[in-house]
Amino acid sequence: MSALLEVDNLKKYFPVRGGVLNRRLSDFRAVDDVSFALQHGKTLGLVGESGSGKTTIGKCILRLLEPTAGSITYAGADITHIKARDLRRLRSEIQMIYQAPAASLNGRMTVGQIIGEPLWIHERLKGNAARDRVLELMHVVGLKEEHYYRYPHEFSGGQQQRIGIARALAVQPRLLVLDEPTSALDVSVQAQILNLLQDLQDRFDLTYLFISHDLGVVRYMCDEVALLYLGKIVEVAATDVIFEQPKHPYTQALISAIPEPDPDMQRDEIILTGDLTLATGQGCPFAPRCHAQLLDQCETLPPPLLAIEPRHQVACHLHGESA
Amino acid sequence: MTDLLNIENLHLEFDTYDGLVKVLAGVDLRMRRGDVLGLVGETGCGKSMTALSVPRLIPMPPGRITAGRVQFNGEDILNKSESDMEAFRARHLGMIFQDPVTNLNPLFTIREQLVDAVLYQQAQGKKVPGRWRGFAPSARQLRQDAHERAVELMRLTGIPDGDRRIYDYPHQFSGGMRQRVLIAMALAGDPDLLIADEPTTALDVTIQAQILRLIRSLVSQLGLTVLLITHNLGVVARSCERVAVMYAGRVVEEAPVRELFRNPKHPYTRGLIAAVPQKEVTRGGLEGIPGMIPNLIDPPSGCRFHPRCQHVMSVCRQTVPAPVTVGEQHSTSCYLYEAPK
Repeated sequence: MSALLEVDNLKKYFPVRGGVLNRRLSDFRAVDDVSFALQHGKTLGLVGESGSGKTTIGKCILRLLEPTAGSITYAGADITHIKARDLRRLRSEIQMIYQAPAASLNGRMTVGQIIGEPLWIHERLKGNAARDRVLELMHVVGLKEEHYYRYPHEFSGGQQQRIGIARALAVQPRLLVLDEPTSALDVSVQAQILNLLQDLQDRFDLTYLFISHDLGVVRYMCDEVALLYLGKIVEVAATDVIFEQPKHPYTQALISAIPEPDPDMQRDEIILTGDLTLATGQGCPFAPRCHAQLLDQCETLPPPLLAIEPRHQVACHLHGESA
Repeated sequence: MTDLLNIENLHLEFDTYDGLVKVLAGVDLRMRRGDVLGLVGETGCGKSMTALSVPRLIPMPPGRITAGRVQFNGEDILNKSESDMEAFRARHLGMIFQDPVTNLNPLFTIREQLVDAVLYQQAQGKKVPGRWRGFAPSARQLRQDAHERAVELMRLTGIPDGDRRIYDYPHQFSGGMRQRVLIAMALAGDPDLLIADEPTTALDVTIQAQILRLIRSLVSQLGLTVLLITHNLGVVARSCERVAVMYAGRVVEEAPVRELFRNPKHPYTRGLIAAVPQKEVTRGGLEGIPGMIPNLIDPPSGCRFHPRCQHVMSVCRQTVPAPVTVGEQHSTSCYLYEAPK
């Protein structure tokens, strides 16, 4: 079976400008050579701390940002450079749900208008036909009919996120890019939204790219997880493999840092020193914070992402072909 | 031994254009010296307001305390004059907040801000009554001492290269380092009580782990008493000895941390724990709490949780349940545990 979405060697560099002439001094490598594949009907988690490039990847897939290099293949077709005219059709296939529900909804539009707008843009649907569809979508995500004429500010964060989900579903997409969909919500509401997303996935046969920094949520939602560090994938594997046998030192540290609500849990806490801003040299980007024993090549050679088992890839010299 | 902090039956209201918001409706909270108490709840449950009532930082008006009292070391805080309050805050309290970016002034170096804090705390706190002015150390000497104290505080909070980095501006520090600076500032006056209001919410998990470890080590090194406010049950499980769970302006359950997670009693606490995606939970198995947080302008009658509760009884709609002891140091306000009459 071929993948629904394939990302190959994706790069996104942002120019760092400065000086009197505002020249391009260097590049900030937000996404640096990232490749992954997402199977139809599955959920892939993209996990990383702030600044790891996870949102940038999501935006490149929707072509909200132009990739610097690499290719993105959706349903067998290369969408890296398709024209504006074809982009509209692409976006009825791929939709995004954003982190801040309040900021991603237009405060001057009613719920009915917000959810109805994509119907007009993509299907030229208006009047009663549109209204019926909107009401159906509202029902699907758990909003009530009387919410139709209300404005976003009248809703709580969880309800606002439901509006965002209904808007994304309006065009009947096959792939949803979920960018931290619950990180602004309280836990009891987060649980409601996560369950809603799972129901919708089963009901409409959706494929999810789930971007999050919360490993607990990722463990619950995803079939496969890719961990990012400074724009590079450091480890990819099935969710239970990542959580049971993490290989990369960064993955191990992240998992040990999950605040589990269990005071009795035995843990070997790994506390990393420093943070993402530590300067990286030629070698592995994680080397300055690494808690494992450093090899000579860690400082000099960036580790390639290698398969250590089928469907388990790690970018670490400790787990390379030499190890 | 008297409690370090004793909040009794605290009622707080806010005047708004939409009406009177009953933010706190009878909060009881006690802390002894050396306690590390976690105050947990969701957005709008009043946990920050409870904490802010101790340094009396709630803006009044629009806020108004309508009943209850707050005692610190046996002293009533709510009746103090504003100038007494300033000295009290400097001498006894330290606070750290959620957002380390907005709590540092971007125009001043860390040195200016830390030295300021040290000098102020000293001026307010270490005043020797009747000291003859002529013997007072010079301003220059004071600043020199304060500088050394500031560097010492940076070392204590784990900021490497403190003697050099003290001359940096806040933007030259990362989020985790800024939070350390704020902790250093809070510790400047040797506080009896450290109030930490969501200290790790804005930080990444690896940095969160660093800051929590720092707070734990400060507790054991300095014997600090900490009131840790958070919405994250995992943070509580890692860092606290006792937990108080708040819902809609009331403490609904209080217990030692192990007891609370092993044996939660209040339906809200149970729901909250079940809502966290944990290891054993498989797909579709996560439980949320139905409904949402009530509007506190017109809060539900009786137990404020009753509209979302699965075990609701008719008595729950009528009267407010009083705390019932359900175990060692474990109490909950729920009619399910009331002894049959």
